[in-house]
Amino acid sequence: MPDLDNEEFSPEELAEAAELARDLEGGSHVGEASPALEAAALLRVSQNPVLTEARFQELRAELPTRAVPEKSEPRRARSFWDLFFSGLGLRWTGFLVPTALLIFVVVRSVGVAPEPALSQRDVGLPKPSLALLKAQARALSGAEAPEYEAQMAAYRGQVLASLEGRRTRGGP
Amino acid sequence: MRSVRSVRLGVLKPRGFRLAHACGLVTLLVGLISSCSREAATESASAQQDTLQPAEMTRLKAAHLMADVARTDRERDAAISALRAELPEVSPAAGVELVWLFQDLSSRISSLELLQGRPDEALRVAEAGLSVSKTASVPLSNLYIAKARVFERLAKKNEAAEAYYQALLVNEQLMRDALEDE
Repeated sequence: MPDLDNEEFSPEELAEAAELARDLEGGSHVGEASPALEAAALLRVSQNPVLTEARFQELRAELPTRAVPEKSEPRRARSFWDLFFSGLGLRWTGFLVPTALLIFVVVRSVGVAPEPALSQRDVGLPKPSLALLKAQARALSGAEAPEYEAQMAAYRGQVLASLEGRRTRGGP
Repeated sequence: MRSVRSVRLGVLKPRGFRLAHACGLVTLLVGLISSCSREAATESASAQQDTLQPAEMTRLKAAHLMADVARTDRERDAAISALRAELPEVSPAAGVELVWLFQDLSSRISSLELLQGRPDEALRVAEAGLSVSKTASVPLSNLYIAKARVFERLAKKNEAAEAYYQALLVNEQLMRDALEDE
């Protein structure tokens, strides 16, 4: 192991030590960064690790503005419809409404004609008998159907009587 | 006393946020009002069912009787006039009864017009009856049959077949309902 205390320094080593001493004392150095300069910088930082407020402000001024925001950014502006649906208390409406509309349109387009006879049933008109409907189906052949005419006249009589009865019960 | 939350809302929410909330609430109100008015319209339509006065009912029966017994051209023309006089005014909000009466009268008039050799008029009356409603009923099916016979007279086979098919669909619907209720 070499004895460092008693070892003779070469002229290059002495020059390097002098340069290091200058750097440690804060001297300016123009030109390429020498290993001595880097070592001096490391030593300076290790001796004085505290970043002063003034240095912090200086460094921050050098950084791009976006990297160090002054304060937290304001919240992104919400769209009108976002606010509209949240006003209704329906946060998912933006998704649900188009879906419901799509389902509605599909169901409506698949629907069969004619409309069901529910309303006729609801208001209490007499329902046509199976015999009448069978006679009507036979009349669909195109031939004259006296039987159907008779059945239809009877059914018409029932409907008119029903309307008359309703008037008698609740009419003026 | 205003809560902290309400104060925060009042202070922090931007004007657009409050506007959107107001629009949302207005929409809810409009929806509620329109649904109520629709219910009211339905009730009004069903309340319109008793629109025939006793005298009108008597005349209606007499007109149908004339059509039942008409054998000559003159009798059929008289029956057509009597039936036309009883055609009720049918609005979009008309009750099912009025629609039933209107379509029944229309199908009879159309059949008689065809018998009298006036197919164009028969077709016009049938179309007018069909335009009122497509709710399945016996008169609706009769109107399609009357229309099909007019097309047969006019030698329009495809149109006649289409009208017969529509009549068959209505008949099937009524038959299905009748069987379900049995």
